Amino acid sequence: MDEDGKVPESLPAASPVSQPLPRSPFPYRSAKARHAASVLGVLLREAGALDCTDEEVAAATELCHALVDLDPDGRGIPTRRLYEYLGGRFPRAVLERRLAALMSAGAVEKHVDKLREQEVLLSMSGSLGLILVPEISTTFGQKALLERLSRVHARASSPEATAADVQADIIELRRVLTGFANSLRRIVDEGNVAAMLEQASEADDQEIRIRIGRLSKVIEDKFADELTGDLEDLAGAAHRYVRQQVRLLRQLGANRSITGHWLRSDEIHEILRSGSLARLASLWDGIVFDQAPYWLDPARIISAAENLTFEQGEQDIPEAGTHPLDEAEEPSLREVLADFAELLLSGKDEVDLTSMLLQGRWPDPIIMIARLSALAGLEIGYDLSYGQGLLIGSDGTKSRVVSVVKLQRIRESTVRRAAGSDVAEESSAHE
Amino acid sequence: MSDPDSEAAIMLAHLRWRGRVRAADSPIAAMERAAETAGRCLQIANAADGEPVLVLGWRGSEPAASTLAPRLSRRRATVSMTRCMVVAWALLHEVGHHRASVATDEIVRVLDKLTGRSSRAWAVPAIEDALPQAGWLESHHGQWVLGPASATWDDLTREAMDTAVRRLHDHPGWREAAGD
Repeated sequence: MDEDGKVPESLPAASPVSQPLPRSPFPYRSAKARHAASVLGVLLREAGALDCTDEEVAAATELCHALVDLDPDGRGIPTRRLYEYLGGRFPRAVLERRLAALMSAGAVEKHVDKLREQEVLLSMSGSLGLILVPEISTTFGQKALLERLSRVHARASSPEATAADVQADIIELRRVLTGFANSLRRIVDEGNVAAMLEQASEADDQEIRIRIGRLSKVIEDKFADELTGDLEDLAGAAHRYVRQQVRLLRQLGANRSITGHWLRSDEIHEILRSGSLARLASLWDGIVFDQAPYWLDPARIISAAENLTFEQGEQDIPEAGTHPLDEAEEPSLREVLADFAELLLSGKDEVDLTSMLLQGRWPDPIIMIARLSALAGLEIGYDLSYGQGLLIGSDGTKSRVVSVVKLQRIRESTVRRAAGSDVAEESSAHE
Repeated sequence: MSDPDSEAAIMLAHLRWRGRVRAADSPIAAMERAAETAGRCLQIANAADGEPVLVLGWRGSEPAASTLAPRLSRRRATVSMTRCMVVAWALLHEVGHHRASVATDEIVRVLDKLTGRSSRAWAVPAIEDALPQAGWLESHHGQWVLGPASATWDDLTREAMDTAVRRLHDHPGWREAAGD
């Protein structure tokens, strides 16, 4: 700044206040248009340009269809014929506005101007729109991701693929996966029910794992030396995405088995749109929110104190084998183990222990597995299942290899079939 | 649904989800009415930083089991949770020791000493996950203090806890277990 307080011309004047950013997205009238606008955001100058109603979108689509159906040779068709053909389904004003918009956009071209007559035809870009627009406006979340994965896989498998091309693809894919993982995490953290249900309808963590595994194998076989780092980043992003998917599914499935609410997804959507306050409360009780506040049973408090202050008489260290096991003083092994399993399950029917095994502080994982194996052996309604994959966790200095392990609750009928009715009765008495 | 109802339902949802909401931001009267329709009641308690928060409870000493929607399953604390809570409460209410907070390792050590066996595998998930979720313990500077929901216990539960704690404090092994 010079003596007069003026900013020298060579330096750009700094703006004291940055432009305020919009607090919420543009209020689109059509869900399709909203989705398409957010996908095409990088191409938009004004968000409002895509603010069509569903009827307007349908009218424009039908205009394009009619241009091909009524004019298969592509020699131009009078607008009058178009309006007559579609007049029964859309108001004339809507058709005229939409045709004008299609022409401004370049999807429809004017063939010839005659006296009181105009002839139009579909351009090459407009024809492409017939397949791309439905794809953009209806492809969401994981479906889009899987399609992208297929393309990257196909390109990487091609004999002409270069390392640079494949690298560019996997970097893009990693960015998409990271964005998806972050969005899912936000949805789960915020407890956004509608968004959770929408995402859950297509969430399939297994599919993503398999597809990423196949892609990694193809790339490793061809470009092992050049792309190892990028592949690791891709695997890391995929792992984060899958973890968020699993969190989402657990969150939605959390309380169903306890509360006995089993609702179909279409029913849930219907209630979310039109349910009364009481109905919403009952829905939330059933699927998403905590089923009831915890209750501290006074009888259990006293019993805990008795167990913790149990004195073994004058002999502090009993001789081995001289004291019979007294079930009343300590909770039985099966009770302690079942309690432990219930804590891990948190009301669900199944919990994946793999991440706990990978990340838990040593030797907690091995103690956990030992206890759960003992519990599974008791056949009182819990079992461990082992997947085929092996996972490796590393903190830089040490590595840990674990197999995929899940703790499952087995329904009483299954237990009864498997172990005889007396065991099953004991299990229900324990509950 | 009118707007105040809608706001109350959303806040109530947050309350169920997170275990508490700030009392200052909440339409308390409307939330109380909404909670009543689900058979719950709203209680005000202080968080560790002294801020008033709302927690969910029920009328009377024991939640009624219900078969009608919204279903109110009685969610009784497990044996592990109860034991950990009793020990945490006993450590925080020891006469002559002004412990403002207690660490996971301290609770586990007391349990190990009192039971004479390793309790880490079942105690750590109870202390670090289940008890904070129940609102009975709350993380404060890396240690545990009493959570807001513990302030809403009825007289019967409090009496049971006091009896249990007296019994622990009078136990010959307590001093050694509590690290005195």
